[in-house]
Amino acid sequence: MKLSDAPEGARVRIAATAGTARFLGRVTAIGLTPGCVLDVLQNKRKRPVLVRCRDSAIAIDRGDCESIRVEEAL
Amino acid sequence: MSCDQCDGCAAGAGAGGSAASGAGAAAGGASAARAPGTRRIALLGQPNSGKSTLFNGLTGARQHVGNWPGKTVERKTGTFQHGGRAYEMVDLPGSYALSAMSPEEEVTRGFLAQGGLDAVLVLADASQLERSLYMLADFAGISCPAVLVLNLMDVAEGQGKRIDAAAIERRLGVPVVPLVAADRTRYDALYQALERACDERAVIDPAALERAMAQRFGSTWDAVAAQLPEEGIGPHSRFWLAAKLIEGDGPARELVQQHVDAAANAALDKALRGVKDDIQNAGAARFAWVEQLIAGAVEREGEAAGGREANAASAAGGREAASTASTGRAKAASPLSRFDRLATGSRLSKPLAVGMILLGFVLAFVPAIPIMMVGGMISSLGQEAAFALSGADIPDVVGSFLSGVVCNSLCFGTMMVGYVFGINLVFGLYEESGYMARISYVFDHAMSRFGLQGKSLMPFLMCFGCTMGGVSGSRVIDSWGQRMLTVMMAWAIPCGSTWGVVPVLAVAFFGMGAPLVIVGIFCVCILLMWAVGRLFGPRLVKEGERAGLVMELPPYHRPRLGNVLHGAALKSRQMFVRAIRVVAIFAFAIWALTYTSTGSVEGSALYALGTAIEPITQFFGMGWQTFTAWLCALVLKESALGVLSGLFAGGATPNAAVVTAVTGGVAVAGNIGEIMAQAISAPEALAFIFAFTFNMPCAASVSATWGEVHSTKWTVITAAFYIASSLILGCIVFHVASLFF
Repeated sequence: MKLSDAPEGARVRIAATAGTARFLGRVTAIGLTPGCVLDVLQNKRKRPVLVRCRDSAIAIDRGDCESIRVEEAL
Repeated sequence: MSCDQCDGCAAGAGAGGSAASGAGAAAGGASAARAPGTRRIALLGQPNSGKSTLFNGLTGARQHVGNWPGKTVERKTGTFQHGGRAYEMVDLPGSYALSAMSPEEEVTRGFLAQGGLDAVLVLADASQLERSLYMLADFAGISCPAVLVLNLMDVAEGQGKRIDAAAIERRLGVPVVPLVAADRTRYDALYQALERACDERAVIDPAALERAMAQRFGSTWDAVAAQLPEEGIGPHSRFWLAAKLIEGDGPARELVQQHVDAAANAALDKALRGVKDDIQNAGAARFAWVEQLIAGAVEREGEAAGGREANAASAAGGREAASTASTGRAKAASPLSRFDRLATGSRLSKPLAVGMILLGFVLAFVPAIPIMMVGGMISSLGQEAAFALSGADIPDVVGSFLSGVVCNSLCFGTMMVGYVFGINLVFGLYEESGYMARISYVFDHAMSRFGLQGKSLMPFLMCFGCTMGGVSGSRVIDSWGQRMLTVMMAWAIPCGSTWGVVPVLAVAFFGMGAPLVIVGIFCVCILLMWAVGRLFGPRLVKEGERAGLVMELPPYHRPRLGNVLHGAALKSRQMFVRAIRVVAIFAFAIWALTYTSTGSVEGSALYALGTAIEPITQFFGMGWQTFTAWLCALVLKESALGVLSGLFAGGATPNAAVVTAVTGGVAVAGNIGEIMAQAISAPEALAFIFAFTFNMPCAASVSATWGEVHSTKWTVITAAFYIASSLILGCIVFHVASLFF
């Protein structure tokens, strides 16, 4: 599923991220690498999605979350 | 591009790289026989890692702030002394990595490429260690002595984390210092580490990182590395260049292209063709290294539960999960605090953010008002002095100059400092506590339409009070382009002083129609902001840089008042020194134009000019009186009513009105509105209202802008834009209104 569709409280793993080199560079530098586990802290309409990753709370633009594919992690 | 310093650095680094630690590198550094002069160091770190705090803490008032040559990126340098040595420090612009994808990163890359540095202090946020060490991982492989500074240790401890800096130091091969940058009394370990880095010249041992890369990219890695010069290029090691090439980094490819032969270039192109997902995999390799680096070195209270979950995760999935288990035992989701739910997720979060901004603006006046009162006193003193001088048979012009230019400039400068100090203090506290990032989060969606970030809302709101306040509030916006665009758009917002003038005139001329005038002003304000965004946005914030929001929300923590006070005081001092020049130029120009020795307005240059060019100004909807008031408002908006009062009701000259505007020395005729209504037409009044409202705000705002954005060019462009649009607006309003009235 897309990260933008991940429900609040879910624990997901990043499967693949698509986008421009700039976008990929940005998400990578902030710690969102393929395989990395995220906890979805908040996912509300018209707000950036808020996840916890590598012990940090990270906000990601909703539109951009469409290009981050995640799968459920246990 | 390369220089002898650079070679020196590369040579020292080569020794460090091969010896991997300590002694060999020390010998290399010593043999380079660097003059025992000033040591050059740089500060590198991600946003929110406390870079500015450390920079302020180390250099204090010995700072110079400007822009990087040819770049719209702020350049901060400073000096300090320690152990009988002079240090010169450059604060490299904050960015999340060294990928050359933003102007900030380009500057940092370019600077590090020059070499010649004695040490780089790499900052990481100890409370989010794994994530914030990415900068270190991206820096590793640049052959320059380094110190890893684990800042915000107090926050990490507050989270129940214990960090074994010594263990990290053993793995890294360079000094690692735990630090609370906000506590300037405990810098000893940092100074020692810095001295050690400069003396021993140890560089980060990239062997483990190289293994992580080689493991991930397999034969491609070997194929790429094989074509690169073994000694690297300048301060860039072979390993670092190989990683950048695999990431598809343009500047690195160019650099390599120039340094290897055609056959090697062809082989590189071939090898690189096969790489996919390059940035992400290189990033994952860096994080894998970071995880190894801090494995077992970060302990967290109440580990047990997290450990169990992490183990489950590692059983479930591959490499990343396993590495997660190594470091992120605390991966048990710590959900948002109740306050954060309110501040970021609820329906109340927007009103809360607006309320907090307005509250902050009000609170900023607590320290600002006493300072501004001092400013007012300077102006009063000037008037007293001028009065005394005129009694002592000294030509009137001397006293007038003293009070009108010298004392008024000091007065405006001091008042501006009041704002700058108050705003920097309050919003510095907001920022340090972590709340500012939440404001950005909540309003990001709305502001991104203008190419701005959520934080831009804050300067906008503050400009309703005072443009200077908004301009100094723009400091929290980390990208220069967005900051400049925010300031430029914010100038269109009518400030508090405007509201002291506009309603008086609107009611006198339009009675019940006055609210319509106010509505019109708001419409024009939005229109003007939109126009600025359209006209200048693409130049200031390049399309490609308008990447959507990807930011961290730093953990809340109690800010240290002393530290924020220190920062605000430093900023105020810098602003005063810069601003006073601009203010003085404006004050002098208007004084010279309005000065009259006869005491009647007819003797002034402005009268001669205003009446001479009245046919022209009338085209813009203003007669010589309203034009005079418009011009005087360039120095100080508050002066407009006083000037109009003097011109229409008799009494004080514009010069006196401007000189005493701050202290209210010139009485504004109570019925100035009615008097004017008899003297000028409604279209002219309306034209003046619009031209006055949307003119360049005031001299102090211009100087605040200049001080804040460090670009004379863009300050002039902004001022010119507003003066021109004010006149055009006046023209349009006058001619349209003439059709109706």
